[in-house]
Amino acid sequence: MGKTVSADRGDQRRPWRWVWVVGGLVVTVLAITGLLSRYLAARFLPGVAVVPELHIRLPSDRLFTLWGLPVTNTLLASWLATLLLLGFFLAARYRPRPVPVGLHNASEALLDALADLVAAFGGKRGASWLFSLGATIFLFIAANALVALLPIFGPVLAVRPDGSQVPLLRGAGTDINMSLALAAMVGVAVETSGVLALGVGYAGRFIRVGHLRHGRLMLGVLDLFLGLMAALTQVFRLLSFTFRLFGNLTAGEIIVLTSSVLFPLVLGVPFYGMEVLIGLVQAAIFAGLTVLFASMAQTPEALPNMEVKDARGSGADRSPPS
Amino acid sequence: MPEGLERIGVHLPSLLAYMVNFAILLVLLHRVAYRPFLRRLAERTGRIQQGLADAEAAAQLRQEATRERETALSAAREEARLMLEEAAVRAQEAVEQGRRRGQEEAELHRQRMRQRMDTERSQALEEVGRTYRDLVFLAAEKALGRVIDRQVHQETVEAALREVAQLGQLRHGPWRFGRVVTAMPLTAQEVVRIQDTVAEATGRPLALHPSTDPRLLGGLLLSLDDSVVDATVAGRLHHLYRHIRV
Repeated sequence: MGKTVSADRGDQRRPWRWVWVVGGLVVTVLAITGLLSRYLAARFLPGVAVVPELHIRLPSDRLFTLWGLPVTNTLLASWLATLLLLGFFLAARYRPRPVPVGLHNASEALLDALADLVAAFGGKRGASWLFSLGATIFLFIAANALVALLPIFGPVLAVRPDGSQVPLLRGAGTDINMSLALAAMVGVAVETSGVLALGVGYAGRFIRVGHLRHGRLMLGVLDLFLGLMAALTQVFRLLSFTFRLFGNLTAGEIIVLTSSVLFPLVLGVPFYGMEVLIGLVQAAIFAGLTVLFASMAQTPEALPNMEVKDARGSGADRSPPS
Repeated sequence: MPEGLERIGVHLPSLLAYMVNFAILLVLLHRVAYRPFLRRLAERTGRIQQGLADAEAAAQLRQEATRERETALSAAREEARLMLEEAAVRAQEAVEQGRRRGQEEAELHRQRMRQRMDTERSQALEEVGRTYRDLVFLAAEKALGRVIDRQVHQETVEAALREVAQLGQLRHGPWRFGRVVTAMPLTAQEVVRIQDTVAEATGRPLALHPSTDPRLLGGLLLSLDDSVVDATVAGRLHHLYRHIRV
């Protein structure tokens, strides 16, 4: 299998070069057009687009209500990112060839890199659901971070029913709801994978009564405390997920906004590149940690004081530590 | 919803909307991108493994083929060497056999030529002898034909009668009639003389019917029933001709 994986990666080595080249060009074009558009829009489209002022506001802006659902500019941006992702992969599926070329080749290179990422964080290469979850998290976060650099984010305004004007689109990464939603879904997925892999015994990771059953009171209390800490770790992990992603992407947005105000043209370009890098890194961290936590949840070796049953169903009795 | 959470923007409907959005994206990407990609990845892995296995099998087959080729070449070289040796032996034998056959054929041809030469020489000698005999006979015949006269005729007839008189086989034969042929016509006396001699030789009187044939040259030819006594000069010449050896 090792030979196969290395041979497969060797086939994808050439497309990666083009991914970097195309990515660099896209970043450059985005940065230049984004910076120029702010001034061009302010000069030629004063009623439609304005140069944003340096005003930081954490909650997203509600635009309208759709079937009872308040649609914010960040949610709209996440829909746009979702549509772009789906469009990219649907376009990549159009007329596939035995030897991938063009978008097909780029999509395969991207998915192959994600498969490597999942494998690097403990997932099994080729595993279906874990790969799907990790890859979707990466793509969703990265797409939202990248589309937020488009020139239409910020200058294009929308008029709300009360007559106020707010940006039509705003990076979804700056909405804590997106980070919290992802963290919540990851938490559910991780715990579900643990239960599916280890069965009911997975609860023994949080409810440790082994020492108490053997009459060791102090150790039993300590075990209960450790179990409580493990359960709290799960919750704090989700909060950590949420605020790490939210904070980094919001900080990136603020940095770009600040740089565009302070250094209008040339000096703002490096911050755009840094924002691209931050978006990709945060996406990789979020996806990688998801895979890592899911793998840990499925690993029976980390479970003391319980009858261990690994993911394949073969059981082995482990005595509690003395 | 706690006020602090609302301050930083936490909003339950938006939270649910993001979760639904992410779930839809997950399902669609799984169907559109991940599943085909994983299937292609598995197929590609299978093809690579199959290719590696095929390459390994091909390498083994190539090694086996190389070994078989070397073995076959060695066997072929050994067989060629044996064939060359056998061919050399057979060629030597063929040369010897050809030489012997050539000698035999040459000897046979020589014998045939010798027989043919002997035959041709014998035929030539016989032809020469026959020509010689013919010449001698013709010469004698011409010479005798020119010198025979009545006297020679009588002398030859007398000599023939003496021979007839000495023939003991004629006596007491069942002779009923006879004929006598001479080269010249007989006189009456000569006829009587011949009849007497024949009667004395046969022991009974016979009436002889005389006739003439100049080719007899001389002497007489006596016919008794189916027996003939040749006492002619021509008969003697023929006897002589038959006994001439060149």
